[in-house]
Amino acid sequence: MAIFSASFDFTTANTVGQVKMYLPIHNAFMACGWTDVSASGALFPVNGTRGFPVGAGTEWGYDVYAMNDASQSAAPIYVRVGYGTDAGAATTLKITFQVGFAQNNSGSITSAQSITRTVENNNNTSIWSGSLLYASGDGSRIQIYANPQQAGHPWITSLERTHDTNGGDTTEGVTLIGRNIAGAINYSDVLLPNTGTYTEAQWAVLMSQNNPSTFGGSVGYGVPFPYFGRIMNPIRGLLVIATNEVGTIGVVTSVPIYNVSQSYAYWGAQAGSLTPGNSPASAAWMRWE
Amino acid sequence: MKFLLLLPYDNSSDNQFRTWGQGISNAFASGGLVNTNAVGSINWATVLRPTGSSQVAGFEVWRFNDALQSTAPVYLKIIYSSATNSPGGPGIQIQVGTTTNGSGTFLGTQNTSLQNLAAVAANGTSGTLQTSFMSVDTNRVAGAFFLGTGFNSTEQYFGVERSKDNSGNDTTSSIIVNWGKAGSTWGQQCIPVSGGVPTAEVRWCALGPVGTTTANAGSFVVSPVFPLLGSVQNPGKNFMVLAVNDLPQWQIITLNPYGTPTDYVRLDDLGTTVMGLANSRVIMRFD
Repeated sequence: MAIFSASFDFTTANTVGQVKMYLPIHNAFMACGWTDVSASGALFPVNGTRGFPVGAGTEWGYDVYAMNDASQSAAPIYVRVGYGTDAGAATTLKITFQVGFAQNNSGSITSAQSITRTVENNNNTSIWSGSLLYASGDGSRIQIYANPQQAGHPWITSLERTHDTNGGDTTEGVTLIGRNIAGAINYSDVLLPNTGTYTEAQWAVLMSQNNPSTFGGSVGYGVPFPYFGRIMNPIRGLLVIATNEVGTIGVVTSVPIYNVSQSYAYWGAQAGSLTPGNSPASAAWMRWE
Repeated sequence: MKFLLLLPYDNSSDNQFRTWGQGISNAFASGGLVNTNAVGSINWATVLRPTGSSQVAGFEVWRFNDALQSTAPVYLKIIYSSATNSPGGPGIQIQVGTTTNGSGTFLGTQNTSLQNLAAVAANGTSGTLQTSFMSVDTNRVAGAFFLGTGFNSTEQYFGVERSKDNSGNDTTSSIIVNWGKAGSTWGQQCIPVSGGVPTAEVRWCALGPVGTTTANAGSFVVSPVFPLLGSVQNPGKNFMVLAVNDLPQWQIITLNPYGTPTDYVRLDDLGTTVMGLANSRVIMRFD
């Protein structure tokens, strides 16, 4: 397991910005132990630009990563990370995660089941500076929280295998759960290679509406449950916390998940509106180990 | 025992008031709860209808009648009254706790506050019978009243049951109480038999849907409703939540809470924000 943080300054207005946009994400996957499949045409750190200028609605680069765990050979999972500009303007950032079960070494996810999620599209036209990207993961998961202290710009996502009742990874499928703050989009996606995909526009959590929720020495932690025609076993990468209980930025807290203590970090309250009707006001903790 | 009650949403006469009130009262008794005959209880032969808004006509105190009642008593007080701003509309108020004084007053702190489920300004619908459902046994009660009037929001829900162990068996540790009313006012509270009582929740704690359906791969999501005592407790069985288009109104479905087949009925379309999600709907135990 690994944790990773890096500067995440960037702009789509020049090639330097493109490099700054790509490298932190690429390095996060590498630090967490994923495999860069070296797809033809993909970006690499040494040539981390696909050229400038680009127009609106243009993807200027991508890379493809594979999980790197014991299940990958029998139950492969790939994510194609796309970098570009949103349809609105040439200066509008867009990052996509396409998750699937096969790829063609040329930058395409080729499995019958896949889902593409715009994890970030931001209409900010200025250069960002002073932002950070945090990541946590291993060969079977990755959690990324970018720009958590920068209002309007953060995005958070968790990509991990489905779990059994003990929290162990299964080969049934993969979950992609996150929030695109600029787009005000919550997503909880489940992909099962032999069955299909399902998208729920929320993190389904069990939370008290009381803020703080503390009662009898217990604090409420909302564990996101994926759906796939049924309530599946919860993910382990993210938690939802009432704003009055989130703690201090940077503080790491141990929480028992599936009866196993896991470490979670609070990086900022910008990823709010995570509960139904935003009640209670909430923020995310990201697995940090 | 399940009850489909067609009750007049009408306080326009003593007879109409007695008809809907006694309909509920009779279901309590038939289902197996015991009327404590608290001092001052309503007398259905002589009670007069409420003539003012939010006016109390009378009350009853019912208790569970199961093997646990002697060591972990559960009492439900029900008040028969009128709508908040309309004497013509029936109103129900409930309070649940562990100890009463024999005259309709709860003692100590192990109880909910009085929950007024009456609609705010719903006039009576003279001559029209409204659909209501109740499910009652010696250790539980759930009711959903005045559903689907089509002219105003008059619905009034409540449920009381014991806390559950991991197998769904009753325990003596606490009482699970749920309520809801027209105007999107929902609540739940878990009342421990001793110690502090948590603040009532303003919505039901469930894994609800965002969209109008969760159907996928031949099934759809039905979420139990979870009591909260700081931590999430084993869910009750009285109510569950699903997406609006996953089951038609009034449809009965057999589910398997804790592995036991149990019938539920999908309630009306008015309870849209039971958990802050516009497309969530309630199903109620109906057996």
